[in-house]
Amino acid sequence: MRRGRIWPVLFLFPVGAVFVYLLVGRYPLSPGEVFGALFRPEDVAPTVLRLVWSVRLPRALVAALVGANLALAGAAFQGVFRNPLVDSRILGVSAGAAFGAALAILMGVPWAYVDGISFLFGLVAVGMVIFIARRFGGTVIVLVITGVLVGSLFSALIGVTKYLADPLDVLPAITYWLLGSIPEIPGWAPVGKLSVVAALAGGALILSRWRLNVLSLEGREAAALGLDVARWRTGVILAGTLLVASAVSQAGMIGWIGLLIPHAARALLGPDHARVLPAAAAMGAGFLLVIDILARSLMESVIPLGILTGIVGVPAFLLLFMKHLARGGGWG
Amino acid sequence: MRALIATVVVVLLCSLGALPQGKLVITDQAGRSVEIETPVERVVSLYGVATMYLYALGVQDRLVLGTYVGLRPETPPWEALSAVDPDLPEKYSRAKPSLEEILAREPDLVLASATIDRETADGLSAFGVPVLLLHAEDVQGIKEATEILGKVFGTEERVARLIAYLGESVERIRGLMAEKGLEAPRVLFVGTRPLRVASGDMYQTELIRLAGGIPVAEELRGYWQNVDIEQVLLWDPEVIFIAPYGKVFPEDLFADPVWRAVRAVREGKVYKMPRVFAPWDVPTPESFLGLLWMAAKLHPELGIDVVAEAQAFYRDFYGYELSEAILSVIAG
Repeated sequence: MRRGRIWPVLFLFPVGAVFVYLLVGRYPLSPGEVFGALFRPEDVAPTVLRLVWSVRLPRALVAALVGANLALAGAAFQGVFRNPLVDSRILGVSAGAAFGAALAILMGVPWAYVDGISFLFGLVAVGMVIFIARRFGGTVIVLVITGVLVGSLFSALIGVTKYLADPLDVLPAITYWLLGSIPEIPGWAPVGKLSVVAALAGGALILSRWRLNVLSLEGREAAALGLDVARWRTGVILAGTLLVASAVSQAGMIGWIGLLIPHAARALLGPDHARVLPAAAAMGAGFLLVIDILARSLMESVIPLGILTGIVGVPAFLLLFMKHLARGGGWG
Repeated sequence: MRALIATVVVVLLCSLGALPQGKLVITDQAGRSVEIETPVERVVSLYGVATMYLYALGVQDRLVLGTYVGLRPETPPWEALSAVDPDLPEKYSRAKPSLEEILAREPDLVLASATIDRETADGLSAFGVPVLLLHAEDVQGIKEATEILGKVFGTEERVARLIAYLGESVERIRGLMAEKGLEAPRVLFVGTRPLRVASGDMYQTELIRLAGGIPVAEELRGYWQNVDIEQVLLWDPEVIFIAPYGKVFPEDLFADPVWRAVRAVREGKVYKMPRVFAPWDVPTPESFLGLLWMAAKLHPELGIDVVAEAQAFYRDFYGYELSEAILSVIAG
């Protein structure tokens, strides 16, 4: 497929997936009922109306936005850290956000506030990483190591919350949340929160795509091109952090999207961030929609998303990696 | 005149035979006031313990979807339950069903757990499906839950009989023990691993007390707790019961030289609880029989004929004839 023609396909993928999402579910809704609910709401039964407008549509949009945010952040992080194994969990933001949620559930905070606390702890984790890394020179390698350490610290703290949790009610809630899932009845608030972050942080990243290209060069080369490397790097990290924290705070830990999708985007479109970022956003949205459709239709209960993305993600990643090696490629 | 009398008789007969018709307002065990349209014909149960009460009340044909207590297809308990409910495969849900799956079964009523299903209850209420939150985790909770179910299904008489069975068993054990001047032995209840024991907050501990034993682990709080073998030696239980599920058997303890230092193991008083439909140690109706079985093991002097009791119990409440195989397990 030529590159010019790939864009319409890339953007029709998530849009089409949203429509499929609306049509698929355990409750038998005919396409006529779904489209009726969308376009002629006065003619359909209240249950159908509520299923489409309060359950499936907001859930589809949450899935799309979470996928887009994770993939965008992954693409930006891979560029900034010049490392193909980096994903959205680097710098401990996921672990921090997950700990925030686990802590909130443990303390019995009402569900409406769990996402806010989770988001906050994601920012705290990355704040810690940046603060500590600065004192040791703030190079890429120092950032990555500090990120791993802070991430491990928060993982251990998640362990503490699980250990302290009541195994009858609180522990299953924490465990299920950690495995990742789109809430059954999300309502429109999460859609709003995710959209705002996606628009601000995602928009900022896409606007600074050229600088990301320069940042993904060696630091000295980037500096030679007249870029304040440290400042821009921090800026990109902050934008990525907001994206990941928003996604994790709404849907828990969903692995593989932040790693796999940027690679897929690069495999399709080459290394230029001007192409990779929007493509990753579209593909991430479509991918998570497809995964969530599977999660909700395969069995009578909902399969946690983290499990499915792993099962789909690992073989997909292997395939991409093998293809890349077969072409004689390195990473760069 | 004769016509009038005939009409009156017909009306009386109808009202006697008919299901309760109209609206019922019930306060559930979470203290919520729930309005239910009767007769209730289609029930979804998300609470495995409550599911088992539907069978004991003889209304399993109104269950359209349910979770069960540790039940897996093609196992002996599955075969046994299939005999009293041929539709088991259609209504069996391995894990908690999704919101859409529940709605797709078009329930008149959903039974759920007061500890873990509050959110689901709110979600279903938005669709106009009444949800009763139940909490049958101890004797008091069982009494309240069955009373509610009796009202809902119009089976008050059966509920009274079931609860009387439990009350009479408790009185019988207490009376016989006092009469014969028996001492209560120290008892440990072991779960899915030898050193995973039932805590003081659990139903198993309440059963031990009612059966005339002293639960050694009653100081422990919460759910199953992992303990040290040294703690077990310190408790030095005179009798050990093992949960019906899991892979721990008396032979494992008899074969272990360290466990042989424990009095119960030395004296051969380690027993695995039976299971017919649901395990006898969880707060389902069958646990009433579990209580008698425990008392018979703790105090052979009481002369309780568990086999005869079990045959009568299953015949009476389930219309089920126990097989020779299970009878020999119960006889131990």
